[in-house]
Amino acid sequence: MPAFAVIDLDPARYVRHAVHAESQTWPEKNCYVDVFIELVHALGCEPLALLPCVNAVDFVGDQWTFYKPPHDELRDLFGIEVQELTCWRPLIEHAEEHLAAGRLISTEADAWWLPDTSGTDYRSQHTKSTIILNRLDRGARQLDYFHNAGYFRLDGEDFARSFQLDQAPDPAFMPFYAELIRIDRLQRLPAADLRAASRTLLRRHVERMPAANPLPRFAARFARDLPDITEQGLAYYHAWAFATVRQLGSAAELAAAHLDWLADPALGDAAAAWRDISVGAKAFILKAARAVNARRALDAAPILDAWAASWQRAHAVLLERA
Amino acid sequence: MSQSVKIRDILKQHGRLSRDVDSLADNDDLYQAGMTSHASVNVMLALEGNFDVEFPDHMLTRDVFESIAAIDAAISQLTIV
Repeated sequence: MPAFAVIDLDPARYVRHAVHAESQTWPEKNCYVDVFIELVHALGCEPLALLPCVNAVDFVGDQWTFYKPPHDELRDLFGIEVQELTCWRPLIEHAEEHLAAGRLISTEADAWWLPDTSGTDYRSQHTKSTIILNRLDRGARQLDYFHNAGYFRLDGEDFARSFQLDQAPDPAFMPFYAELIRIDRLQRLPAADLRAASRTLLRRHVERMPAANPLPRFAARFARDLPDITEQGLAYYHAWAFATVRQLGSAAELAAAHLDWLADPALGDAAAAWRDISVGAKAFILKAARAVNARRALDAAPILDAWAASWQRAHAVLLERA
Repeated sequence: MSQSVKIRDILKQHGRLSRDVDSLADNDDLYQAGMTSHASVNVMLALEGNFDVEFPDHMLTRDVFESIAAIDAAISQLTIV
């Protein structure tokens, strides 16, 4: 059985995009946006162009927006087309078919079998994540895949379990959601054209920013929920923090990176305001963990008021100058 | 037990590193060694509990926890009377 690879990459020598560098406040953002950032980067394009959407993050009750790059913008900026994959046969057969034809597959996966998550879920917790399959060697039982901030290889039992091989048929097994990624119309726009196209998208997403500042809503909900989060304990807190502060903080970091990349001094204040939220969110996760762990109160109002003011500043600058 | 040995002990319990803590040099990057943001929260809590300190807000950053040496320096700074 031959090996199929869409993009010629070596996991051991893979160089991440700068937004995933260890020097970042949030080296990992969320699994879906992360894999598309790295895919676009690996294809030789600039993924920062894809990030205007993060400006529109909102607080929606029990979470901040799990932001994703809109598929139409992937197509318009880079010629990358994403459609749902109909999983009517085993995933490994779809993977062989499409990788051989130069099409990638993004799929939900169980992080239990993803060795790059050895610090969190690998062999310890069943968690849904998103990966992009790029290279498959069925004979050697190897898969090279994009996940989170990087590009990795899995093999052996991890390969078998990721593709449900060597298992007795399970009538209760539900296939993961998967997407087909076509790059046969890939376009690499000149830098100036890409910036101009991304600036147009920025205006679109600024119009989609919440009509009312979402931070006061988040502050009120946090004050209400903290006693329950404390009661539930640290593991629950980590899940809460992932769905809330981490999404906000990482979106803010990407928003600042995108505005910096546009290289327009008129947007500098908005980038600085987003960056204040991003850095503050990192410290907040640690402060709130301390409060939960010690079962003591936390007056978050001064911090969240400052974020609200930063959001307002970013919003005002972007409305006027984007 | 010396401060840096205690730090290594905490990292063994809470760091969830992909490398053996004993094989790390004091200046090796703990994030490169597999410590996630999630794990760093637990490391910070264990450090505060074990050394009876509280990191002030300006020290709640990634770089304070990026190496054994950096943690050691931060703890020393907080425990100077």
